[in-house]
Amino acid sequence: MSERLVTNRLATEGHASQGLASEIPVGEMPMNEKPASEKPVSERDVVLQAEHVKKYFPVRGLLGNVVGNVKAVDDVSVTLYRGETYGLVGESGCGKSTLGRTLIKLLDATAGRIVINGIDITKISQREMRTTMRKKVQMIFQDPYTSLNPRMRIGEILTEALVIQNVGKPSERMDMVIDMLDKVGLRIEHYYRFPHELSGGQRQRVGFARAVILNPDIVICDEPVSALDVSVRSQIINLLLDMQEARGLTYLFISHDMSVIRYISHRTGVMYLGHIVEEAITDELFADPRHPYTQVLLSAVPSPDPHIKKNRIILEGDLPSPLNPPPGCVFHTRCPGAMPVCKEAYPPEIQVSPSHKVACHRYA
Amino acid sequence: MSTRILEVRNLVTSFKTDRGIMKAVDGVSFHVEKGEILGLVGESGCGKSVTSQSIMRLYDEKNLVRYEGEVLLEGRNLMKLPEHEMQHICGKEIAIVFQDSLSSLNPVFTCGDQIMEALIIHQGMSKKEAKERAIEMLRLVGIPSPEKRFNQYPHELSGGMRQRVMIACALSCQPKLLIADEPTTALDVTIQAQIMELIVELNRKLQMGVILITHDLAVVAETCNRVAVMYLGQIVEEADVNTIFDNPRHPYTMGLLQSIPRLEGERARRLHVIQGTVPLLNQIPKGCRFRPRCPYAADICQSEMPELRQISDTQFVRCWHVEHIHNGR
Ligand SMILES: Nc1ncnc2c1ncn2[C@@H]1O[C@H](COP(=O)(O)OP(=O)(O)OP(=O)(O)O)[C@@H](O)[C@H]1O
Ligand SMILES: Nc1ncnc2c1ncn2[C@@H]1O[C@H](COP(=O)(O)OP(=O)(O)OP(=O)(O)O)[C@@H](O)[C@H]1O
Ligand code: SF4
Ligand code: SF4
Ligand SMILES: [Mg+2]
Ligand SMILES: [Mg+2]
Repeated sequence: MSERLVTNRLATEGHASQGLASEIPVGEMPMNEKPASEKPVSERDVVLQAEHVKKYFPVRGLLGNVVGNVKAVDDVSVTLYRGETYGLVGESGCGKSTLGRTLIKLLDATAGRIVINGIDITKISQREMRTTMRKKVQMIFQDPYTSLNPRMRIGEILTEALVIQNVGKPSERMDMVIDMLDKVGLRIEHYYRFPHELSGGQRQRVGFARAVILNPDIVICDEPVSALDVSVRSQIINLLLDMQEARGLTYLFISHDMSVIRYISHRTGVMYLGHIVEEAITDELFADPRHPYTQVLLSAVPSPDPHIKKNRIILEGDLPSPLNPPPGCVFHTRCPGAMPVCKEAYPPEIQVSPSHKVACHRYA
Repeated sequence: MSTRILEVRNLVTSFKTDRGIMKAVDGVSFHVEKGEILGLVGESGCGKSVTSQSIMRLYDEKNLVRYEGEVLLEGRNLMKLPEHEMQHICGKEIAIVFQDSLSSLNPVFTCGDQIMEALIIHQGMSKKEAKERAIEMLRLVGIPSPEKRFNQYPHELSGGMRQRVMIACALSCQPKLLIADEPTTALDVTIQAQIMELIVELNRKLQMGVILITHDLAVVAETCNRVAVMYLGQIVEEADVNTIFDNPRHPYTMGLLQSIPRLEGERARRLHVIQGTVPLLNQIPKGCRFRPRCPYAADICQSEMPELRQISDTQFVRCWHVEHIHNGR
């Protein structure tokens, strides 16, 4: 391929590409129209609907026989609407990544239905998934470095994504890649760089570019800013927001950081030991958390304001093993307000407002 | 002056690398009072860990590193001590807790053994005394049924428990100064809250000085008395905690504070962004090191490096234009 082609473009368009996405001053972007999830139900456009999804990992004994299951995701139902960001928050090991991967069939669900654009992906083969659906559902990771081939140049990495998914004509692909680099705030000269020559933030931009260049409907973002420094983190968050606005992307945004979740998501689900225990429009969840676990989580988040003194609810004990989750409400072993019934039965899902539901016996 | 446990004066730490001499810490001065928690903050690579490891002289002085400046522990200059005396100070008078407790604890010894070892070496205790003390320490850091945990190996404990064992190890000899280098970064928020509470409580109870290294400004706001903000090997601002958050005066501190998403208040549509990225150590800009990213930069910033200047009783700022810059918040 011709290096000259790129250099030519650099000469003619280099100037225009200086306006990086991250360098647009605050306040210059138009205000977002109401996200899908805040519109009335009848106007919403469902892109993904998951019902009673389970993902168990079998645990094998010495003889290779199955001796138990890690119940990483246990009966989760969730709906994603077009153009929204659904935040998924919870502590390490609660099943966030497993749910994200299962929803786009990077892992096969143990049970349940997952419908994307009208197709139940639990019913199709991995091969069919790859050929027909993969470009519609993409994923980005916490550490893009491990998912970028160290021997390939950035331009080749992005081109390869197009080739594999058969997107664009061969003659158009280079322009598409250069265009995408510009959109994610990289420069044309990055086309010929290797991943190790980029900073963490730049690599995250490449990971994101590789997902978005296929023009997906859904992007699963698994802790995309958790490894980044404060100043780089805000650049990437802004980039995600801009791209969503420009392309109507739907994000499932996984994080253990409540402040980031609050900032970026329209709706938020709180996960504990394989279950979504509470879900609401983000502002409602943060203003009026109902589930005892959500209350504990929120009280634990430190505030960057020395004048705010928090009333902390200290959580006793360790997270139980997903191999052997407690019977009844999975949180009862640590819940400050557990009642006798909590040990017996899994709590029903209670709708506390049209946009807020919680699984807890207290509200039954 | 008698309450000053640690005083660092003009510390310079240079590494000999194949790309030449790299000054990772360049003229850092600060102090820690008895019973005080000093926060050392800044983004990745700004020199927080190198500063703390230099205080304990943990780098190989023959081949790797050159120190300049003074590190005074209750008036004694540690930089002048022979290496074997330094070993006695590390662990006994100054203790350090790292982020990664699994790799800092020895996997083939039980938790109890690791605490006992320090007590036997540094305090000259008998085995029996050391065991009693170790169990007492495990209880102090909030480990339930410490007699049982005493005989467990590090990999048998959760991340939060291991971090507690590390803290128990560090505190067993009642050091005058505890350095906690990102002690909770790898942990969940609920566990982070417990560990930080523990550090604050022990700091009050034992009246030791603490240097808390972190990039999490919220943790700093909650636990520290004073804060030093580092950028590219230098302190750019230092003040008491309220002043840093209410009235930051260095453009870098202001930028950092504006960049963090908050749990309270209005959500702006876009987050504030500090332009550009941290330069590499072999590409340190002339003049003010923050200049390529600073919205207030002027000619003088390019030609001359500003000194850390005292602007009030408790606030020090390294910027030519402090008088003209006010926080927009
Ligand atoms: N391939 C696997 N085989 C067996 N167990 C697994 C596998 N992947 C995940 N698990 C287990 O499933 C549970 C959920 O893991 P998962 O990675 O989804 O959690 P997470 O919420 O993403 O945590 P983190 O915040 O640490 O990323 C954990 O107990 C984990 O050990
Ligand atoms: N042993 C070493 N040899 C050469 N350079 C080093 C060495 N250790 C650290 N450095 C360099 O010194 C600088 C400061 O590193 P340091 O580890 O102190 O950063 P930090 O502020 O602790 O960052 P982080 O938040 O990522 O822990 C970095 O540029 C680093 O690459
Ligand atoms: S169902 Fe019971 S144990 Fe579970 S969260 Fe509610 S009160 Fe607590
Ligand atoms: S000295 Fe100049 S470049 Fe440096 S922080 Fe102050 S205004 Fe900015
Ligand atoms: Mg995960
Ligand atoms: Mg460090």
